[in-house]
Formats: sequence, structure tokens, C-alpha cells
Amino acid sequence: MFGFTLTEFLLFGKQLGIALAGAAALWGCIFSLRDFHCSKDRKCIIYDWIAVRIMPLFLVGLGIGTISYVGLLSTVQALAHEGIAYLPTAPEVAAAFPILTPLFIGLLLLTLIAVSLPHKTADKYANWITYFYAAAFVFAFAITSVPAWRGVVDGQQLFYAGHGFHSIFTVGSVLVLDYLFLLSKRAEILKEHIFALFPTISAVVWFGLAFDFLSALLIIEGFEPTIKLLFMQTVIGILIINGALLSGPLARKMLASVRPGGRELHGGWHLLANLAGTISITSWLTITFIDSFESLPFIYTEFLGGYVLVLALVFAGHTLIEWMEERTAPPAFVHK
Amino acid sequence: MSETLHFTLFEKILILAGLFFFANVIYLASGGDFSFLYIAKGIYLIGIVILATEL
Repeated sequence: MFGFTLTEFLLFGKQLGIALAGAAALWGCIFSLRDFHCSKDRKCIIYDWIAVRIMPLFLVGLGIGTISYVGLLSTVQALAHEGIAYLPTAPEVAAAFPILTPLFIGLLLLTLIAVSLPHKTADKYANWITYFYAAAFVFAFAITSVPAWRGVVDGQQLFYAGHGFHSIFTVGSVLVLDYLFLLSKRAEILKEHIFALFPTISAVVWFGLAFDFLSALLIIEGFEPTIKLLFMQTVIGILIINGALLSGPLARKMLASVRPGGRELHGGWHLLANLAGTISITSWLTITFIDSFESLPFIYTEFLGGYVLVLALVFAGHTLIEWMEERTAPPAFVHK
Repeated sequence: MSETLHFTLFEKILILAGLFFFANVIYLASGGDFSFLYIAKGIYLIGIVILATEL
């Protein structure tokens, strides 16, 4: 329907799900490691609390990725991509299955052990989770690096790898960033700790996009000037300019607002920060989604209209979740 | 909201790269080649090098 096929939906689900799981594992690991730097004589429980709270996001990503992969195993059909002519063919996608299946099984077993461990609120669990996240990230990175297998490591295979694993650092990390932003609404002390990591997360997203641009140099002759490509280039322009605003002046404003003596963001600044955050998520999801489909019969204005419609829906949903998070009870340590 | 927005050099370069992506769309739609796309990506990668030196 409308040029969408089940196989392409499953490829999108695998890519997005594992990118989200990989990004959750990466940032979960970094947050749980930061507890050692917070205080010299006492461990910082706030970063551990944040690291444990990232686990549901990891599980959601892993669930979407695994279900999509299982579906792909039985439905993969002839594929071709419009926009970039060098994207995987069906035999290449199928050839990656013998590599991907053991990786998926390993990641699932690892996750099963992690969620089966008792005493999830104890310090020991918080220490365990560092190693779990580190191992889970390695698995997710390997899975996203092999979206297809050509049987030889040439320029095109390296492009597949770069075009695959960059999603952990881009769309996955943007989703984690927004999840943390919403989580921080529960208490001021969470904002102080979470906002402090925003510049680092933003830098990783910028580097992730650079990986994708560099990997595209390997297939420089592979671009085709289609309507889909024009729309995707428009969205990339939007997300870069919006990202410069969000990770620059707006992030600095948010950081200043949670420092001692800082003033809370009000009115226009608050609205602008929320709008920029929404544009960021919508844009990254849009290019990841559109990139997964070969034959979309839309004209440029229809693509753009759909993008604006999704933007409005995400903004409304985001505002609602933010409102709910502000009314959620803060973590127990806030009262200590 | 009366305060002005201050951008660093890295952020200004990113904005320039973003504008070149828009120029690329217009140029391609007018029957042009991918020159603006390569320029946009080049500017972006220069920005990333500057970001790396700032870290």
C-alpha cells in the first residue's frame, strides 16, 4: 500500500530497534561509569539510577529489532533502493543472516541474564549493569554494521557498515537524549545531572552523521536525483540547522537554568526548546523511515505535508508526556 | 526571549552546511548535478574537524 512493503517495514524495524538498543546500551554504560567520578569518597547514586532507568528503552529497542529480524528471516524478497543505488540487494541481505542470527541469540541471552538478576535496586546490580551495557553495545554495533553481506570486504561493504552503525550514534542517541530529557522533568537534581551530559551526547550525534557522510564517499557514483532524495536532503538540511540551534544556544540556556542561581526556562525559550527537540526526533525518524522504502509514489509536497503532519503529532505527544512526567513522583533519593 | 542567540564557529559552520543542503535541493530540482551536495558535506566535515579540536 502506498509503496510500502512488509519486508521494507521489517528492515526499518530491525535498523531502528537495534539502533535504539545500541544507543541505550552505550549511554547506559556511560551513565553507570560516571558514578565513579561524581564523588571521591561516596558513589553517586543518581547516575546509577539514570543508568538503570535506561533499561526499559533498551528492552523496547531490542524487542522491536528482534521481532523485525525474525519476520525478515521468512519474508525477505527482491529489494532495491531508490535515492542511493548501492543499497543492499535481497541475496546480500539474506547472506547476512548466518552472521546476524548468532549475534541476535547472544544479545538475547545476555539480556535474559541481566533482567533475571535479583535486587535490581541494589548497588551490586548497578555495578553489574555497566558490564552488561558494554557487552550489549558491542553486540548491537556488530548487528547494525552488517545489514547485508557481499562476501568480500570492499568499498560497498564498508558503506553498508557505515550506513548501518551510524544509526546508533544518530537516531538512537537522539531518542535516548529525548527520553532522558523527559525523565529529567521529575526533579531538579535529575536535570542537573542529565543536562550536564547533553553536550557530549550532541557531539556523538554530530560525529555519527559524519560517519554516514564519509561512508557515502565510498559510493560517490551511487546517488540518483529522485524526489525521495530531494526530500531527504531537505530534511537533512533542517536537522543540521535545527541541531546547531538545539545543541548550541538552547542547550547552553538549559544548562545555565539548572546551575545554582540560574533562572528556569520560561515562555518562548521553553517553547523553542520543545519545538527544536521535536523537530530533531521527527527529522531523524523521517530519514531513517523513508530510507527503508524503495517505491514511494509521493510528490515532493506530499512528502513535506506528511513530515509537517508527523511533526505536529510528535509535538502534541511530546508535550503530553512532558506534562505527565512533571507530575510523576521523583525518585526516592530526592527526599533523602 | 529578548536575548539574542549566540553561536560558536562550529555551530555557524553547521548552519552554513545546512543551507547548502537546501541549495542542493533547488539546484538538483533545476536539473543540476550533485556539486552543492559535495560542498555541503565538505563544509559539514570541516565543522566536525573544528568540533574535534574543541573537545
